[in-house]
Amino acid sequence: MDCNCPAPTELTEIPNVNCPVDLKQIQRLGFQRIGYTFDATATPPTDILDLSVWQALKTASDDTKVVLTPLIGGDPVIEPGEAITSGGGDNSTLNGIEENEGTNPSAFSCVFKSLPSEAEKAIKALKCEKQLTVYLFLQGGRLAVTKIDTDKITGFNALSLFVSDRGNQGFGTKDTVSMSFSLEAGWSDNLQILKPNFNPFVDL
Amino acid sequence: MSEVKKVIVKLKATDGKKVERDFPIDQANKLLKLPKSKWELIDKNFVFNGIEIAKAGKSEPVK
Repeated sequence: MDCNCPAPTELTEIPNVNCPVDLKQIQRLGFQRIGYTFDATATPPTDILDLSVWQALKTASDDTKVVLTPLIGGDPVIEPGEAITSGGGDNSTLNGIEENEGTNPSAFSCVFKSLPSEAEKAIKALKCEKQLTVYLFLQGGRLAVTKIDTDKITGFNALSLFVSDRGNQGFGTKDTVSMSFSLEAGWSDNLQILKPNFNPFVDL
Repeated sequence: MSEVKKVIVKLKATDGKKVERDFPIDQANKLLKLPKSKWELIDKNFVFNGIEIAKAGKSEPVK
């Protein structure tokens, strides 16, 4: 959160909460190089709700190309970044009161299970990308994105992406590959959850 | 050195706003071959035989 001057003349109004907003389970991820914006009013329009638009991005051979992971096998979580503080209970701050100085990035992690090695290798190739945006496909076929304005939408910046080697727990278990990445502080400030006109788990 | 001219094909989306867009031939082929493709060929200069885009009136695929 940018708290630099000038300060607002009054407290920012908090909108009434009429209905709950929950991601629920993140079940699939879409990755793209940073820089693309879905724009339903552009010429030609690129409405994020249309399957044709996603098909064009999936088959692209430039920076707009979107790649989709297999279904997440388990444990998809986003741990929110904690406060960055200084001082507290000592002489380094006024009255010894802890100072809040910022927010750490949030940490996404999940596990893929029983991946063929071709898929494992392809997912690992994302580690070499420095600037990625991620689209979160949610249970119920919903899609979590960042709203830029009324018609413009993009994903979330995914930083420091890591994909592990294959783990094995022996008899009666499935092999696992873990993925993690950081989401910038404030990643959910402009969160929008959409319901595309297609099933992203079947049609893409 | 002569540059290879990129072949561009016009497709039309069959969903949403039925957008018309130009695509390089390779991408147009990929789009039309998708199992649940939401794109159709509307370029009068080409035909799609279910496998490959060819020039209208010719059977060979366009390179």
